[in-house]
Amino acid sequence: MNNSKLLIGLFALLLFLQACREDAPLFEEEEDDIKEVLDPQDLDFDIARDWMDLQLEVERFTPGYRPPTAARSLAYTALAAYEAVAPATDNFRSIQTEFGVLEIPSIDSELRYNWEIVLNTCYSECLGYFYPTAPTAQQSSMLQMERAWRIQLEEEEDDLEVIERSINRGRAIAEIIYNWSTTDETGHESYLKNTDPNYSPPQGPGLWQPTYPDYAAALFPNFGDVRTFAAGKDVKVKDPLPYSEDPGSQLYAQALETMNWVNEIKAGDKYEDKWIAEFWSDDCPILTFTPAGRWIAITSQVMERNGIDLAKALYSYAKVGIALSDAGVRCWDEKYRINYLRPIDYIHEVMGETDWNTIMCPDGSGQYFTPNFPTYPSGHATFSAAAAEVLSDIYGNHFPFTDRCHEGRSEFLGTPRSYQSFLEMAEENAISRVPLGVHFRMDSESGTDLGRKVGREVNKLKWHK
Amino acid sequence: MNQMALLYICVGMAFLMLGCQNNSSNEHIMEWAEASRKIDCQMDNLEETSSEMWDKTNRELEKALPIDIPEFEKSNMLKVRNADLLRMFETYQEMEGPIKAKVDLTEKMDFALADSMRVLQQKQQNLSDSIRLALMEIAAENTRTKLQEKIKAIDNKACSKILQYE
Repeated sequence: MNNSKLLIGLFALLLFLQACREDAPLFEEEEDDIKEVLDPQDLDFDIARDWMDLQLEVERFTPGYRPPTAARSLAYTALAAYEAVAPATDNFRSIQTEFGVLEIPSIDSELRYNWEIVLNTCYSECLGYFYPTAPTAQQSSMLQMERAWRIQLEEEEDDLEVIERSINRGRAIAEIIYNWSTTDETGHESYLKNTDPNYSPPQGPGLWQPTYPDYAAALFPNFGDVRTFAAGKDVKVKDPLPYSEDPGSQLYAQALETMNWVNEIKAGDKYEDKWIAEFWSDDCPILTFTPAGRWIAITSQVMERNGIDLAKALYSYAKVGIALSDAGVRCWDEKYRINYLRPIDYIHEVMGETDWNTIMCPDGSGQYFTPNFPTYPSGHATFSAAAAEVLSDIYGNHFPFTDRCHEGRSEFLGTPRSYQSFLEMAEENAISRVPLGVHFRMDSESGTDLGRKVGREVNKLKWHK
Repeated sequence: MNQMALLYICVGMAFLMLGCQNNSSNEHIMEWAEASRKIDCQMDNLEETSSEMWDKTNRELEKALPIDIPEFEKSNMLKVRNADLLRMFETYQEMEGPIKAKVDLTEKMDFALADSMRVLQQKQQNLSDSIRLALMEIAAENTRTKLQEKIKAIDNKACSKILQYE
């Protein structure tokens, strides 16, 4: 056989083998299907809303996620989603420089990302990080959510490199934000440390003690040491009313107001006040989300009403989340700095009404509760005012709105209520604690004041390009 | 055998090996896809197991409730599928040890199931990454599309078929 025959033979063999190897064409196929690049402001916010709604379900059913630590998890997750996408938006910027230590990788502007895949991965990873003790049913909901979005998004996205790049970005940001959260010693895994066995509440007239009927230990007595995002230790409340047992004192008058309001509701009067009290309660574990989660649910409804884009949705969730988290920290710091007693103890011990009880969180057996931490300032008031302050900054001071968070609930009065502004909602949320019997009026007023200060600090962060 | 024949055989074998290597890579992708779908089904099973376990515990709880329990409290308690909340009911405090032990055990088993689910999720994520990276290495769009269709078919397989040999 001569050399030319050998060459022909080899070439034939090569062609044959290449034909078998379907994945290695001899000639490059032309790219004829250029995918349209969708920026975050071109996309709707469904994926963000779905994941934040799911997060509210998870915090509701996972033990230990009481208000301030629940708010903290909401904040970090919302921040991770925001940071993953913000640099690609027209109007928003990363706020990492506000915290000094974060190093969020930049986006390669020459390359395409699928922002929904980035977010699906980022949220899924974050929920895994921030809710590692979720029960099976909630764990399953998280997996199903990730799977459903992944299948849909990967069907729509045919560029595997874009998918790979997007997944990697979502994972990287979630990991960076989570790792940063773990450096906050008091806040990290605080869902496992609701109480401190070494904490003994100070003793003395007017000071908080565990309350009837369960005398539960103090909730998060050290939460004031948790790292905040924007509001410093100088964000405080004014001093409460001086403690006095004098029937002519302002404190006595406020205790009388709380007691009588509850008694009137128990007598079947004041239907609207009962409605307000139950509508805003969000106190009973598992029955609803937390009072902090309530404002994420309100944020979702606001966005649905306004039909906003994904970029603004991520901004709204991050800003509200951070405001709620800082509200929790500042409020708990002030609660344990001041250590003011709950109305029930004043009414029992000073006013002598030893059979009186609140109407909070009935368990069906006639048992009613009082939250297991000091009264001043009110947590509900602080959360709501902080959220209202940032929502007003985003959507305006005048915002007619109907809150449908608890529409259709039969266990309590959840019929929707309407408002003209976020501040009006926050003020009603704050005062709702008095007819429930768990707060003095001064707690609600000081909480509102503190929450608004926190919200203003969050508004000052440099969110915009 | 002369030198020329030997050369033919060597060259032929080299090409054959290249071809086989690729087919074997495609086979791996299918194996990973099967394994991933199996994990989906296993996770669904864990969720069902947890749900059935709470149903059973709640039925036993109902039998153990005092006859004079207020209807509203009874209805609230039986809706709950969470040990932490059950412990908050006044009636629960007064109930006998065995049913409390049953609730505690159900809670522990539920957390164990949730842990298993997290382990499976990690495995599935690794498989999914491997599949995607392997697909990215396939240059021919036609082959990739065919494989993706096969993967989709696997993803749509009924769990009863996937787990029937378990």
